[in-house]
Amino acid sequence: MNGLYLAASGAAATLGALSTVADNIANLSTPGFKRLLNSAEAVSGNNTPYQFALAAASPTIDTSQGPLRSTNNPMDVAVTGGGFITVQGPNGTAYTRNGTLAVQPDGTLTAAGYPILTPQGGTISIKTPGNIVIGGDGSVMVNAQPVGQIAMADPAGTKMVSLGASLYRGANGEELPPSSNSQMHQGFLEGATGSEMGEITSMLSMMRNYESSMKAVQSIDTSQNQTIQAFTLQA
Amino acid sequence: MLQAMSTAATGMQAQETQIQVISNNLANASTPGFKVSRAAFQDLLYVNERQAGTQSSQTSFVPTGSSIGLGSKTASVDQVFTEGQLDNTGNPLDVAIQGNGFFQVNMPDGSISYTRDGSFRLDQNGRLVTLDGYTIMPGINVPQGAQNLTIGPDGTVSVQVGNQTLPTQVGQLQIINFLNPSGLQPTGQNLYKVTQASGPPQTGIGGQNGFGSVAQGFLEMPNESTVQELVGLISAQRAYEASSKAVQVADQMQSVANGLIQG
Repeated sequence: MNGLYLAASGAAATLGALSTVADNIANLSTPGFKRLLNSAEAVSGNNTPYQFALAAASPTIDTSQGPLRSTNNPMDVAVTGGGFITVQGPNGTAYTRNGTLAVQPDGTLTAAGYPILTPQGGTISIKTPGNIVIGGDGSVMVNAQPVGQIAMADPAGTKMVSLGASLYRGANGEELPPSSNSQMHQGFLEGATGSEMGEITSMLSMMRNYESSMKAVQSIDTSQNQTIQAFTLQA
Repeated sequence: MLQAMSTAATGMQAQETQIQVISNNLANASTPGFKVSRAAFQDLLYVNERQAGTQSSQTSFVPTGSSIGLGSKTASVDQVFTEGQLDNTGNPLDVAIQGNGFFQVNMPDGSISYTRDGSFRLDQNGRLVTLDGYTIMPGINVPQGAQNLTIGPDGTVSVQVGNQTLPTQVGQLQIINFLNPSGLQPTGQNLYKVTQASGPPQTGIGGQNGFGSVAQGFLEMPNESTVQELVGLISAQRAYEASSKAVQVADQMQSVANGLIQG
């Protein structure tokens, strides 16, 4: 009977992985979205070396660079390099690559709807309407007057988790160090990582893996059925 | 039902919104003072099946959590207030704002709207009005028989009356600006209303302190790039197709599972 559960575990893990791919596809138009990469791990069924069940393991965030899309909108910025824009999230400091900027009624500059933090930890306030120019280092000028700098932080190997709404944070709530190798580009947005082609291909291979697992379930079932039949005949 | 199906459906919905927004932008390719809209998307919440940083044994921790995303949503559809090209019309009553700002329009119900469409006309009483006949605020009256109407970069409107050689000033177009113009609410007819998000209107004089200057004889064309809109349309269509494929695959997997049990 154990074989049935082993084969079913493979199918179940594939189903979980499919959800992640569907999410990657659903977010193909989300600026700064980082796709999740599936992984699976073997779980020992008992102490025999050949019996392992498959479990969907923690998907990891693909922090590679997304494509830059020109929007010609001065209220869009994209980051190249490892840096994330530091914002005041709903529960403490959070990080985003979604550079859709806006000014709140009280003048606070936001990215993805959350107040942007400066390297000193303050917010950026824009009191007069006018032309906003953002430099490569994140410095913000309004009508040629400096009003603050957008802090960019680098995960530098720290594991990140998605909070939704384009926000990320360190897996254990770590504060990330300032980024030294990042550039900000005004008038661009970073597209999602991942492509239709890549995601569809992995979906197809999942589909086939799933079918194979199900075939295994079927053939185990058939052989068990034959055993039972043989026993019935002899009896 | 598989989670993958509803996740993929959120992706299809997002692309539908995208295509609606792009269609509206393309439909307004010749509307003076029109500002393109952009749909902004965000990822939805994640289901944490295993929290990162929790203890996996007495001495070890789970390095990354198992979070499965639930799709995407439209976070906002807002206007992009970059400047459009200025089109020389030669009509002295056509004005464009070079730079930031809006004209102020008096609505029939007494409220105030804002516009960047400066295709003005004179009504039967000599008042400066929009194409819909709404008066400009503060009101500008052009006396009968006036000639050579000129509008200066600071919005000053002057005319020559009768045999006078010197022009007479009859009013001044005010320029209104907002901290967050993207927060204005479009109401159609090229008009916008103030909202909580836009911040209060700030009145200024054309060409001063970051307020745009007035250009007579010009109309501002939409700030869209047809190429960019079409590229957006193509990528929206492809992403829509990809999401629909995810629905298909989830469906096929379910059908395989159902096929396990034979009569």
